Amino acid sequence: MIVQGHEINNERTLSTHTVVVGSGSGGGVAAFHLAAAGVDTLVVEEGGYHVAREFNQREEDMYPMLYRSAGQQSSSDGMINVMQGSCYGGGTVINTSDCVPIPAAVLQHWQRLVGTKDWTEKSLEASYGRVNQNLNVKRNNKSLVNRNNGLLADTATRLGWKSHVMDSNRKGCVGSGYCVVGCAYDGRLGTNLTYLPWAIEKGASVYTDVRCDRIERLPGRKYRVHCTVVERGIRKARFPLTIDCQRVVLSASAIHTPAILVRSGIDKDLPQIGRNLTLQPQLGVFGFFDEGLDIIHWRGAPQSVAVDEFDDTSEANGLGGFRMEGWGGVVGVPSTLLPGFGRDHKRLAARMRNMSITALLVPDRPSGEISYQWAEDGRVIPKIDYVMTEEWKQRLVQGMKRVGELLFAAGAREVAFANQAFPVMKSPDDLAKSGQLPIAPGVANFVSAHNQGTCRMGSSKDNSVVDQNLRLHTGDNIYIMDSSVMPTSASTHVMIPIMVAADFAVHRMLES
Amino acid sequence: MKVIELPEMTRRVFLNRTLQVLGAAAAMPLASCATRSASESPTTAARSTPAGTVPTLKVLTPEQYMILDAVCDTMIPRGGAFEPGARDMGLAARIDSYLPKYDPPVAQGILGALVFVEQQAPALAGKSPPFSSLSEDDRTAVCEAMLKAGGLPASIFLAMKYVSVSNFYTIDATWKFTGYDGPMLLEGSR
Repeated sequence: MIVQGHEINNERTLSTHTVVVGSGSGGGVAAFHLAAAGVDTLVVEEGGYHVAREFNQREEDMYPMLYRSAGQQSSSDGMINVMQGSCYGGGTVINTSDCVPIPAAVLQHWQRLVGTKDWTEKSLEASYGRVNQNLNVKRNNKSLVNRNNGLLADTATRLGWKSHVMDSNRKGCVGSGYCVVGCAYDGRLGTNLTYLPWAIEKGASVYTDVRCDRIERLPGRKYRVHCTVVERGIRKARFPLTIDCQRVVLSASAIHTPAILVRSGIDKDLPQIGRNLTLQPQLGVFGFFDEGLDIIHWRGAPQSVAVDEFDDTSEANGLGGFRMEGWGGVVGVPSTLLPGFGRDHKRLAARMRNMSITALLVPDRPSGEISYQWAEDGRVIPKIDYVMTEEWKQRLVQGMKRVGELLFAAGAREVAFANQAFPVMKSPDDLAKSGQLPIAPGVANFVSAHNQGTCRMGSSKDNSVVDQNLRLHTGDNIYIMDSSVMPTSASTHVMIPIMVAADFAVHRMLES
Repeated sequence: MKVIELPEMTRRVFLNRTLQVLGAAAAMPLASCATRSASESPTTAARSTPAGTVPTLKVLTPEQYMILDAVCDTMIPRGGAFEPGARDMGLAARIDSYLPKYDPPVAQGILGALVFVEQQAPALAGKSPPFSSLSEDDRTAVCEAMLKAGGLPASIFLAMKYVSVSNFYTIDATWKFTGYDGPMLLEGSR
């Protein structure tokens, strides 16, 4: 059963066994397996319920419909646009469908860092099997690799660099290219098309347009989850909705899960809440090719090739190095990232058809934290404080030089970075200036699509918020199954790691 | 000219680029803004709006509209790689029509940004406010000065650029100038 907010016209009190907060990668997986095991399960999702026929492939309509803060959420210094899905299906409705597992070295790094000895390639094997099968994870069909991605692969090969076509959870993809604004053709198997309908079939209820505000501890190890039914779109508070339950699974993302715990007063026993944030800031790099050479980055699979020559993942440091991936699929946001304004900017925008877009992914180590304020109507206002470390900046500069080198080798006449004050480069010689890239508010633009940490798992309260079963260290019957449990950056794309983590934890929960 | 001081909250939030600005700043009277005649045509995408006229508005006041129109014209002026600019596409009216879909604090923040641009930003380039009455060259100089100043002015510049550019290049009528094909509508597949 799906109940949408507009169907609720008064204050409501419900009861269930388990409340799942959030319907994305973690919440969807948890809800299905709980319901399939016969557990009375109720999912609350702050975003709206939308289906493919509503996805009109227009950014101006889809960001407000499908994204947190209409896609305008950012770090507190303003340099990083923190993108998050916020709708039925969460991030799985608007990601680029890339499926990348947690590297073995990262799992080993976590064991070293926070003592997660139960999290091994072998112990996660069954979860990977289920998730990959349920999502139809396969190598992207070559026909979907567009020229934007293809030139990365071809040029990398010429340069002797490693690259590969990535796996994805597409099925019946027509190559429209609008993955990041919702697939109008249901060609990507997000939780909106898989785990959530399956959970509903098994008896779960999903309430959309319902924001979870806080959890109240009741006597007898029970809980009351205080929610607010919100108006779709601007999310104005409408009615209170409370749910009595015996267990809570929080899957509201690394940005919003901690907010619920803090507002509930549960953070007092857990000093690591809100800390250890990673954002994986990505830098957009643009290559401008001759007129007549159509790149058309907005068709096909927007992000289907990864140049992984410079990956440097190790047990000592976790995810490291940098990689390049194709990017695109829309024109509005990329045009805002092009440098300059006025006629200079028009000159670049006019070359959109002959423009390649590459995402330079530089995995980070935990260097941020989140604090919160609440508006009078209960709306959460996160303050995302993030520090770009010198070590990270050095890898960024190395990556800029390499991606510039690749684009010029591919035939680009000009290369530009997503930075308002950095000049367009005309030749490979200009790449030496990469180290002078100004990184300052109002000038630098980065995009984050993979927020992680803030409630990480580990061996004790001193180093983490949840245990290896993803249950709060307080002993409460409260679990966290989302990106916030990752001790460090799990992977270059986090949908599969989150789903596998949720699958692993929910099976352990059910077994116990 | 009385200079309006933005509240501290406005400063802090604008450094976030999230555009969450206090309503107080946005609600301040903009007596300095040149007053133009009201309502001409309904707000539609790609509807040309001649300078100095104000269409029917959903959120903005006519004064706020005139500032935004000047901002948009500075970010995307006529001429250059292709002739039409923001005014030819009715960009300020289009942004006004989308403001109700924005996060309320963000929409409010845009209004606060307009106050800053109109009354405080010109001084950064040695110009006299209001911004909306300056020549295109002077407005360009002000934007360059905002970017160069860093901090709050640069953040506001970036926010104004984001709002202008993202809403401009999603207008159907601009696509022939960028080569963008627009949505791929395969009715049989849906």
